[in-house]
Amino acid sequence: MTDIAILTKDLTKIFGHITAVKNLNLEVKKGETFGLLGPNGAGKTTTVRMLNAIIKPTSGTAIVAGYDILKQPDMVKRNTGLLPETPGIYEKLTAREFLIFIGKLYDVERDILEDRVGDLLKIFELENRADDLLESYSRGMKQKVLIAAALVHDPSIIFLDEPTATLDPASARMVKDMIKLLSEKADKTIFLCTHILPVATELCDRVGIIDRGVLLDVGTPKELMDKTGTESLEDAFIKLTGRERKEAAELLEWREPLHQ
Amino acid sequence: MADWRVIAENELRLMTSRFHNKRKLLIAVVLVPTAIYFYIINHFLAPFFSSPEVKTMLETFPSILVWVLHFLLFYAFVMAAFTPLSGTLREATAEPIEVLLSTPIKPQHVLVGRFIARSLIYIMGAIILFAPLDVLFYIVYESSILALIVVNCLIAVMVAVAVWISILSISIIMSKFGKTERGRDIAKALNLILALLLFIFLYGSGWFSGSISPEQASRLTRVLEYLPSGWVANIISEIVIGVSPEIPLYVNIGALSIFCASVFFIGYHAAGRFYSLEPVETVKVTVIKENFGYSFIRKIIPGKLGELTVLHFKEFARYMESLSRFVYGLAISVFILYMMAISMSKTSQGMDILVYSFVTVYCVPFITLLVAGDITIRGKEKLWIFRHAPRGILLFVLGKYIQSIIVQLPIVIAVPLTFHFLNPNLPMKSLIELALIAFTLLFGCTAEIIGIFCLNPAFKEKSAKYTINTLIYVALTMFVPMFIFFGIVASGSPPEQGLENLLTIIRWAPVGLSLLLGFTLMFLGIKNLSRME
Ligand SMILES: Nc1ncnc2c1ncn2[C@@H]1O[C@H](COP(=O)(O)OP(=O)(O)O)[C@@H](O)[C@H]1O
Ligand SMILES: [Mg+2]
Repeated sequence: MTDIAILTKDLTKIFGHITAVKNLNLEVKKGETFGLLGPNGAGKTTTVRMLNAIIKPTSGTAIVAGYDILKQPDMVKRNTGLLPETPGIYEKLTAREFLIFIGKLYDVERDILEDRVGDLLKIFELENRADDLLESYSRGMKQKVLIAAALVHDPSIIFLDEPTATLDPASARMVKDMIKLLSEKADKTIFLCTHILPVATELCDRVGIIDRGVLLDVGTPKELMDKTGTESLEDAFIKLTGRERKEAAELLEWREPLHQ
Repeated sequence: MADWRVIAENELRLMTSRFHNKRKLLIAVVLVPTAIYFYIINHFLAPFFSSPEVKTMLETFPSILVWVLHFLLFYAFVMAAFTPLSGTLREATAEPIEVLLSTPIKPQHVLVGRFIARSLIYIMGAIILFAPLDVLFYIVYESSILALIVVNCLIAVMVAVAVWISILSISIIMSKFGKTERGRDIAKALNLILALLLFIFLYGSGWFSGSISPEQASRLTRVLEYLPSGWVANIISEIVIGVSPEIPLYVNIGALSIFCASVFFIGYHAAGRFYSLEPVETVKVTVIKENFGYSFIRKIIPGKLGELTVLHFKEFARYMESLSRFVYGLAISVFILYMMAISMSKTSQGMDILVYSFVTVYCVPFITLLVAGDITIRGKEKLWIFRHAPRGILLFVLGKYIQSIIVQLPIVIAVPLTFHFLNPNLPMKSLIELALIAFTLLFGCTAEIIGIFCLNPAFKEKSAKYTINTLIYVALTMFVPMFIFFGIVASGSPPEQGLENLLTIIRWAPVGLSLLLGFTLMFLGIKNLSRME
């Protein structure tokens, strides 16, 4: 067995005339927390969907948890968990019902499933609301339920697409602690997409920077800062994506009429 | 391997979520009415069917029963196909498709699971509802138990096909529209159009079947024979009632089997397409040039108020949902206007204009609710923008008011036109008065609804506040006038000023009241919105 969890080979996805992901070559090791950073529209969600065998790449392929995403999509799905970026949730189910439902879709055995759902609800501090309909949950609580749903079949790799983007600081804190716990205590491989840089700095062992479908650089946050001669991941990011000057110019253009 | 059973179980859970922690209650809720229903069948319907009169009538005119059979089955088919569809379109939220796709379940199984759960419920409902028919067949035609089982199986198959078609349409529509904001808007609009068709179908057919003559019935039967429900009716009427339709039995059976088989086959194989996140074209709407109407509005209403009216207009016109609401409201108003006026003027000869004004009082508020009731919906964030601008809230509310009035002008035209069409002898003077009543009512009702929603802002259509506001509005606009109406009639005011005057008061009192109430509410509403935390 190798110690590589995810390996992509020239992974490419083209939507009409938009190349969402272009010749992506990436390696994520087992047990590591990897962050894919990029501005909105960079191709993060598309990458995650391909790696979860939800959409098919236009060309190239990837090995996820030892299985080819094209040849063994079902095995890939069984060994990965996904928190989608804009997930839907069955508002008319209770948290417990929802988790049991998802678990059954992964063929988790009945008696194991009930215990595991109970444990997850306990870990996520949802126990006393577990039998309320999800429609009454706050945004942050729903997010917790969805993360629990991504864990219910005990996958070895967990994909989290913008897990904290829509959360208030307290819920975001909770989710971040949860992610740390998963990587440290449960020894899961975590693949995290985000455009919020402090989240990446805090959680990720290594990060990849992607912009307009192209992977620009990969390394530990420190390596990237050293390489670009910057002080923070944010500065490194701006330097790598080359966005700084243009945006500054746009800002000035906008202000000019006010000074006339 | 997880399969459709998991999905079916989940679907049943979703359908009964209201009882999520008291499933035992659900059993009672279903069982008690069913028991009462069967009691009624046993104690009242069965003796009635056994009476010699019924027997002789059905023996002399067997075509009556055939017509009823065709009609009922067609009805069941349409309802089984449209009810689930309409429910889903109304919600129009993308289901957790990405979560489902990330699990190893096959799209076909999602479809089949959903179908099994739904059709199970619908088939049970249909078989219970058709029980009187079984009783009739058993008593009058002495059908064997085997024949009755065949009848119920046929009904079950028909309902199942209808549900399958419905589930397929839901998947197609939601996979096309469920993913974008605009798509959801279109889905909601489609639902209103569907609701309108269903409404006209239900009320139209109910009204129609009451006044149908035997020849008309047999002609209609001949049309219905070409539908799946018609094939089922034909088979039943041949094997149970003993009336042979023109289409031979084997053709009916063949058509039904081929239809069912192909619908299931095609649907099953197309399912994979619906459940996927592969490219969707993002619909981009670019507005090239402003409409001429907008500059006209700006011209007649100068300044910021005109600007806000135009803003509300754009919001209204660019949401398919609001447009279809309007069409829906207008069509139903005219329909109700027509139906009520016909049935009421039968019983009150010579009081036409009174009847018409009464009917008007009930139609105008309805469309006003549909057109102006969305003032605070999709608006929580926007409200702060207007709060910040000088006199912003006042302008925001007045702009909405003016826009709603303009949009509703077609009703003022539709009302007298409908009455003219109904009763060409109505004098011009009365028509003008009716138009005036409609027009003034518009002013009042629009102010009322906007006032109520500003006093108790509801930001979501599916919120308790929205329902409460709607109820308050209905009470104010529909029940209060009724009390006035009958109050004046019952108090039998002094006839010395003449009957004519009394009638005028009766016609105009609700209108005056709505103006008074409306402007008070709107004034308080503006105050409230400007103050709200
Ligand atoms: N289903 C789709 N159909 C068409 N274009 C898409 C689709 N999904 C994503 N895209 C396009 O692909 C690009 C990358 O999108 P995405 O992967 O969602 O970026 P990110 O998650 O980094 O914000 C964007 O330009 C987006 O418009
Ligand atoms: Mg994304």
